Amino acid sequence: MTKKEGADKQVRRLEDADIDVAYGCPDLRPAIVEMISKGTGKGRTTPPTVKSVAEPPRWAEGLLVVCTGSAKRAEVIHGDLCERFARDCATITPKRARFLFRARVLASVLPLLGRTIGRMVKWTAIISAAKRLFIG
Amino acid sequence: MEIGPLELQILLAVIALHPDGYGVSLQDHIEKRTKKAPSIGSIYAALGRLEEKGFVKSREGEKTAERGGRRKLYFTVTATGQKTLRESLAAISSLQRGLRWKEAFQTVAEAFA
Repeated sequence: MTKKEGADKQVRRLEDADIDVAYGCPDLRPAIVEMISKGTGKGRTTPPTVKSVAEPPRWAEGLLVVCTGSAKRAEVIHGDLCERFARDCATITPKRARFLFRARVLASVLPLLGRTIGRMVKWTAIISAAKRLFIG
Repeated sequence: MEIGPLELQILLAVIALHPDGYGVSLQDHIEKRTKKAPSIGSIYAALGRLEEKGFVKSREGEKTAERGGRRKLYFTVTATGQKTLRESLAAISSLQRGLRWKEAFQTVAEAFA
């Protein structure tokens, strides 16, 4: 094996391991830290933080806040989805776990949005009826 | 007060898992029993409706690492919820008793004869 091939292999290993760590496989973290400390990590100078471990896509929480109209409820729902994601990471590939996470978020959007819109319509109707009754 | 089929399933699951019923465990329980998994969004939308009607109440749980440091929300059925559930199940049971299984089976048997 030439020197270049060896370097490519190390970079590939790092990238694969990096993806695994980012999506919930913290067992590989020491190996990555070691590789980075040896200077074999391409384009990365610091080890992955603990926060990046088991952290699924972040856009989901923002979307859930919009759909539920409540940051507190969105946090709980996002927590449930993260729990499922972490369990999936232990049994299936990180790529598939990410796909399932996205699918679950999108499947949850419609019922939550429907409920939020329904509540808004109900309160708008109540307020407008009260206005007509008392203001004129 | 009326409750839908999903709300009925959720109320039964909350009682079965008492006092540890939260989103994921409720989804798992329903999937295991009915072979159909409602989405987390559907479950929380239904729980929201049940909470508004006063059939369930929630309490905050612990933060866990696998949830990214987010809290769980545990649900329990209130006395009103239990009463409504009993009435709904009694209504279903009453309708079931009125079924004419024997005649229905005879019709089907005749159709295939």
